[in-house]
Amino acid sequence: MDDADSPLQTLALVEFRVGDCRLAVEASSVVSLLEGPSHASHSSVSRLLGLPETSEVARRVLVILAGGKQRSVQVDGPVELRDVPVNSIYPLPELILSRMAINGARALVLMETVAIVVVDLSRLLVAAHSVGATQSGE
Amino acid sequence: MSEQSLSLDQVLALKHGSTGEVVNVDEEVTKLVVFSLGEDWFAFRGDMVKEILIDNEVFFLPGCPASLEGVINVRGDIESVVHLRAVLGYPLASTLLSSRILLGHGKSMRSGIRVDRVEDVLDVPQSRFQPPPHTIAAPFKGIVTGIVTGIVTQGTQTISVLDMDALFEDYRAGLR
Repeated sequence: MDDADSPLQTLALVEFRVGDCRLAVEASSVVSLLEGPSHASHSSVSRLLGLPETSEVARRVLVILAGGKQRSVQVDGPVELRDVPVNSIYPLPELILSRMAINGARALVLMETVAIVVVDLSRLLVAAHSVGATQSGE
Repeated sequence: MSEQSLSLDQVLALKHGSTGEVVNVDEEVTKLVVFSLGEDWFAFRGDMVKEILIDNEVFFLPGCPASLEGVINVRGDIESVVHLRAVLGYPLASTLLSSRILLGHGKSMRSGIRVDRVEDVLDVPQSRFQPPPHTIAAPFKGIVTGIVTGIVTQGTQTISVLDMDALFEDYRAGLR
């Protein structure tokens, strides 16, 4: 059996929400999870992903390692660390990739009844900050 | 006995032609998977449809247009599912009991395709294919333009044969 097909192999993911959408990011890119009021310096995960802003109140802040720097991004809770069997993780089908409106979508996790979209927040944060730096003349 | 004798099967096939048309039994036939959306009948070439799925659980995905129903797990392979009603501009209806997912494999892309009902699987001689009309009736205008490769009449039904590759390409490019 191929290593990637072994049910014993797992990948650590941090699951979070944007409204009703269930999303996840590789745990290796998450430095810490903060709780507390929203702050203007935190990036909005909805804006990064291209999803509508939500009115969710259970905000959490993920600190993500992005391009060698720590960047904070505000997500909706609950936030959970999951060890996901590798055989539950799939690449996105081509038509989904071409039509899905979520920026940075990389993979799917199929649980019993739900699908979780794995996104690359690090890349999106690097891109967002490089655009911001260009616009502010940094 | 003539040099080109027919087999009994061929003779019976000729005799069973309900319309009395003369059928060239050596004529190449194309398999069609015929399905319907509401009252309208369509078909894909049989070699493009790998499977007809009856009862696969569809996983909803966020961030997708209404025409993308989600994904299905087909024995470990994940396939997208497009709602053909929405892709062709028909109003979306709640999923019918008769609804099926055709597992379509195009040249460069594959996906599940949700249809209202699978009507038949037919072997159609080449001579029965007619070119698509130059003028398309109002309800179809803009819906099927460019993806109908031919028309086949079966009894009282007109079947529009769709080009799966063109459909996928248009859909991927956001043209549908």
